[in-house]
Amino acid sequence: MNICLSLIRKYIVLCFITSLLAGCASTTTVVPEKTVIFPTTDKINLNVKVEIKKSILEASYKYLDYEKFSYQLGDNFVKNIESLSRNIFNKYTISNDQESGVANARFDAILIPELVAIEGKTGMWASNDAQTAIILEWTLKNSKGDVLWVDTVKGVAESGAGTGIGPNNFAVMSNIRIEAAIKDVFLKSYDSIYSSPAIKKLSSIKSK
Amino acid sequence: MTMLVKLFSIYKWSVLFFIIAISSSCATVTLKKQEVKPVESYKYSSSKDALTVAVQPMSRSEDCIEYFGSDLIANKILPIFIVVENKNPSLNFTIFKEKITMQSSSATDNLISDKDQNYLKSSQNTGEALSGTGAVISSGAVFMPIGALAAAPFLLVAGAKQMTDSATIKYNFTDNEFRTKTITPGKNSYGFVYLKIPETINLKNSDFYILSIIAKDIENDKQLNFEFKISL
Repeated sequence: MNICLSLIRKYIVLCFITSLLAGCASTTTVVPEKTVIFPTTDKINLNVKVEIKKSILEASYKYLDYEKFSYQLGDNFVKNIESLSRNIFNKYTISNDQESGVANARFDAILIPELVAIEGKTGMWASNDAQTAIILEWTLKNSKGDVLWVDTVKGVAESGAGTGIGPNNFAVMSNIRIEAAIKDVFLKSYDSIYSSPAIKKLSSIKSK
Repeated sequence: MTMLVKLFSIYKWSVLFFIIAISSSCATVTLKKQEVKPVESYKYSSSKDALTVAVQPMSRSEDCIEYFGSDLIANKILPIFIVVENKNPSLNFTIFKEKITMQSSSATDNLISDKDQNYLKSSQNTGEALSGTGAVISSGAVFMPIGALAAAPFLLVAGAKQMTDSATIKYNFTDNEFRTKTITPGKNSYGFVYLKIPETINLKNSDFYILSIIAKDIENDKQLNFEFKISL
């Protein structure tokens, strides 16, 4: 009994010291590398320019607004957007803001992804649920710049909040959620773009 | 010996502090979820070309606290729940969130203040709305939508008591936002639009407000205007 009490006391003191030292941790920036594997289906017969905006290039997220634990997501988003475009369209050109000189007239359509928000919430305890959501807006325009179709897609990932230390700590769980939310938002985006009536119509007009 | 007593005292205090710290912050905020009813059952509902739009303003501070964990009205934000259902068999409609506006009934109300104009111009979502609604600015005060990200500072001012509560409130606010979307036949869309209440306006001072929502049939270049006369 005494040994047990002693262990509990030690654990409480350890937790207290850990909570005090948590603020001294150095800055951690996570750059997710995994890219999404999209379904293989018939490609749509369109030549599309995909415009990458600043919101995508500079996408980042701070875990619970905590300055010392953040994600740089821009590169990952660009890779996934390129992979998505490759899997949907016969021909595509990726263009970022700095290369806006790419003439639009030679394209059948312009596809513009924008990052709307990345948000996360978590409970106080390891057993509590935590969620991460990534919201992307996709706009399709014709070569004249008229909007043809818009969709906003939300990718969500859920897990336990994670412990303070150990293999399932909050940082590991947060990384898992971010990767899962990226996968979810891009697979849903793929479905949405692939089934877009405006894209189907453009393709059928081109095929005639 | 004195040293040992001191150490023991520190140990007791640290245990006490730890227990207080845990017990004061263990309950994460729980927010009510907005129920989505059949679109025709709302008090303010209208149909055109088989597209039905319904709106439900949330003007009571108590409701805002219950659903958003923050008194949005006190922070000059009016949430309006919007439900759209497309029963048209062939047409697609796009509702641009940025073009949703509300206007007070009284022409004697002050126009949108310079402070609000500057704020709205600087917020990422509203530039188009300002230019697109020039016609209505000439009478009553105009309420413009602000994005969830632009509104986040107002939520923090409202005082989330801890980091996890703050994150939950922000998440919920963003998650429930109405999004610009092309609504295909048989589909619906819903969410809150957050309108910035002009600084000079007291919601109770106007008899009614006109809420304008534009649905665009892009394919046929046709625009449907939905206007709701609402009391707050």
